Amino acid sequence: MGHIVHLDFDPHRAEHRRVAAWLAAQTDPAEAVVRLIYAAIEGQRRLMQWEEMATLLANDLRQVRTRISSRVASSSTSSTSSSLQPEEPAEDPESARRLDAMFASPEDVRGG
Amino acid sequence: MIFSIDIGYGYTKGIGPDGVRFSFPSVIGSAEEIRFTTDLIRGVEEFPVRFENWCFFYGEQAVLQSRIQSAIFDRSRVHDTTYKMLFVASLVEMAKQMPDAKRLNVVTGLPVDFFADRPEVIRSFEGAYRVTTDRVIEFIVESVFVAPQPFGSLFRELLSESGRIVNNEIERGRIGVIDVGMYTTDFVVSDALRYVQRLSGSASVGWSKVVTQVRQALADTYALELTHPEVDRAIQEREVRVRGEALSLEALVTPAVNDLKTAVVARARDLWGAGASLDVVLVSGGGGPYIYDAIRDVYPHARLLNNAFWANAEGFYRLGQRPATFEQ
Repeated sequence: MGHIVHLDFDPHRAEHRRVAAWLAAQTDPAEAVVRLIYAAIEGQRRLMQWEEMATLLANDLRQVRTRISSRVASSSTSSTSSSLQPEEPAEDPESARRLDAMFASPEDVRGG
Repeated sequence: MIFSIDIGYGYTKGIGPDGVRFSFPSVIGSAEEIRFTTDLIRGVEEFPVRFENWCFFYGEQAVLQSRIQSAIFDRSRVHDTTYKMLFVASLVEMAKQMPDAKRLNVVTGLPVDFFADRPEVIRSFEGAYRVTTDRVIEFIVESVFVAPQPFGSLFRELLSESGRIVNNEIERGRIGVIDVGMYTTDFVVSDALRYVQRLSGSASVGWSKVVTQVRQALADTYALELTHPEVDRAIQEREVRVRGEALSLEALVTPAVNDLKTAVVARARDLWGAGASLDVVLVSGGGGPYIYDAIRDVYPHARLLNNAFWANAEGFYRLGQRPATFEQ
């Protein structure tokens, strides 16, 4: 035996009027209500899944940020310390003298 | 502020701080009748350069626009006004990229056979400049250092960007340099950073020999009359358009390059024989990549420098970073 439900819509409220009009337009109002309720429940379930996933992603992001910032800090420390040390070796004074005097007085340059 | 300028017979190249770099064909064109012209490539107005009583275009604009063109060909280049005009044009190019440059220290080069003209180059280039293009540019060239051109290539290999000696092989070794330029090929030897003049010299042959032969062949075979820079550009692109058809230049370039190879190798043998006393032979200059294989056949220890076109200018710039360079 089927369930009969009487719905008492308030004609002074616009939302009630719209839903009453929509329900009256359905060929099978009971089936329409079932589908609506099912969609609402399914929507609720999916929303909870997305919220759970968003929480997990936020946690992962927080961990990655922590790891990156610690690595950046360590690499900047090492680059600062390396910049304090000259990368180029010291010049041999005799080679430097020869280079700087290479064309000092071209008249004196002779083959050797 | 330090700049290097390499005024070659074919192209003038310049390098300055903060990545400033330019090159243009070493051609000066008369501009008496033209107030300004339009750059056909960039579509902007180009003004002639006015300096003292000269008024001229330079580089690509001179090639495109001027009826009367001059380039440096002869041995008296230092006394030639074209040489000084190319220096002034280099200052204009620098001012385009570095409008704030006012006081300059310049490192430049001379072909080995003209190195004795160094004092005259210094006297000619040092001083105050007031140049007018689309605006007035003022410079003071405080100091000029001149080195034999091929040493620029050696310095680029020897020195770091800050001018410090970093290449032990060149520092201690006996190094030959072959610089294949447009009209001359220069040969120098450095023995533990001492210039060995006895083993250094020039040959009056360069990349121009190839360009001239190809230009003549295009005129004779296809009645195609092109200027020297146009042929040079076509050779770089490996083809030229004749009556709407692309023509490969390989058959014309190969025999011309072989003639250049023969001439350069003959001069190298005169100076260095089999080159057994040299630790390494560096090959540089815009023509270097084209004849490197022939040089390597004679000198298996030859090494082609990367980016040979810029090698001298880059080396001069590095030398300019040494505090002693402008103290002399």
